[in-house]
Amino acid sequence: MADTLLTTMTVADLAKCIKAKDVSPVDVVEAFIKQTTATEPLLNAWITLIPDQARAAAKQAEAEIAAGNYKGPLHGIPVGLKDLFWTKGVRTTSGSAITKDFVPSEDATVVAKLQDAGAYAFGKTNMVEYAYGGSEHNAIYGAPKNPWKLDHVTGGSSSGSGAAVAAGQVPIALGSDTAGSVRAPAALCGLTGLKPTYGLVSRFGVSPLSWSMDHVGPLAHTAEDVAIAMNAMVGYDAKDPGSINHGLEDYVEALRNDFKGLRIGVLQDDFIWDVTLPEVKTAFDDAITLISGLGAATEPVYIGNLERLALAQVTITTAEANTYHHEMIQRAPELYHPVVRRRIEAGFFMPVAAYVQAQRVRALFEERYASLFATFDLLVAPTTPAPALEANGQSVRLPNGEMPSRETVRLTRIFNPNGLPAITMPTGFSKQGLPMAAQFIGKRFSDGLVIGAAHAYQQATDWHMRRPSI
Amino acid sequence: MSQPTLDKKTFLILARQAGFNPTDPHLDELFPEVQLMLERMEMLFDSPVDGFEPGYRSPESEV
Repeated sequence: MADTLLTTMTVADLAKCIKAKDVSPVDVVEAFIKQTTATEPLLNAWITLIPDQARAAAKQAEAEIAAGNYKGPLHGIPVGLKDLFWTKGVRTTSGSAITKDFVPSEDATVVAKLQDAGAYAFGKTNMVEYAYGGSEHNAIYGAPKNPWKLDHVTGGSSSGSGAAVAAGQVPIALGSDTAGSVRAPAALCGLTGLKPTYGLVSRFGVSPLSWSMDHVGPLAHTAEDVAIAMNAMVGYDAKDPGSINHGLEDYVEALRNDFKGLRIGVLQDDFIWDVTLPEVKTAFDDAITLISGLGAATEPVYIGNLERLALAQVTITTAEANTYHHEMIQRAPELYHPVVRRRIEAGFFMPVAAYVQAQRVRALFEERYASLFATFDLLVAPTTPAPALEANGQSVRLPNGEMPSRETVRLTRIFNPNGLPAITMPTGFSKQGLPMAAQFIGKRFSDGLVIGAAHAYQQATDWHMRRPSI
Repeated sequence: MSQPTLDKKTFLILARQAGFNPTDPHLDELFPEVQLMLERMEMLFDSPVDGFEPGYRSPESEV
């Protein structure tokens, strides 16, 4: 099978070929290494590549499968890991000069779980320094480029994971999401990305940004691939204080769900639509029309007070990030990117009452979301207000003014404080040829429903099947 | 309840207490960031949270 075909395939399709022994895991890894070698000079998607280890893992998978020990759809699949996931014996920089030589002595739980399912690490993807930002602030490793348009950003903070999957360097990657750091790069790179329910996927061995809002999730081409990954990633972990023992769900089985009978609230808040570009709205409206036609009962709904919820998210992050970095930033402030440094240092000046007040706003929205999910199965909103911005652009022009580039995660951060599952999927392409996206949001532990809705949408569209011509 | 805006003199006092060297030119860049943060946070103190305590959820509860 041609290498170029292999690198455009989904995990599900690669798995079928591997299981049927039409291709071997060694063929697969060589195809992805070839694609990475050809495209990485243009993209800068990786901090550390480990081709020798990847080849060895692929060879081992080949031997296991040949011996009749096929482990399932991740067996022999290479995975990109955002460089804040601990990898035993492989440096884990968190995108920073400070931890540039940190070599963990064990794997993050989620990395170990993926390996147990037969997947293996292909390398460590580039990221915003310490995952603190939706733009590409990285002093040492530089910013990844968007495979759809190289002079445009990928979104962050899982920027390299977005670029690597979109460019066919790996079929799937992991990211972390505190304000939208899985969903924004997935959206801007034309991918499907999930922020699972808080506590469902272990954060042990994942460098923190904001303990109470950090989520680990996959970026892939399809909701089906997200489901396959989640089946391996989910599970209680006593080593993660936020881990929740909620039992296991078969997310692949949940793909059988469709839109019939689902009640979906279409968000109408000015907080969302005042900043969203008309072409994003047009694509979103088309998606809602389609979903309605597929049997969902869609209805406009307002959440209300979203400015305050967004501010609470920012406040909690500032306080928790300052606490985590407290010693390091006092010891070596000059080693931080100037933007990241200022964000963390601002926390030294935050009134204690602001953090407590932010937690009260969070509690307020527990009740508000509970009320909404008593009426609706899912909510839906655009993922980002605009397609990928030009690199180094500080703002995007909107009909009613300019929006700072940091607002890329404006529409995603409002679902982090309450730990809700949210999945982004492509809904079209802009006039410039850049992906646009929408997100489904569900109540906690409705991850299967959320993934199933994205899959049902993708069964009726082909946006997720397009690939950049890189 | 709202937070008073921060003037430069108070900022430098607080900066010294936090361990910064008040003559460090970096503080000129940090000051507007802190001012902006505090201005934005005023909205938090104007939120309809009467009756809501900061413990936000039972970890295992569904919304």
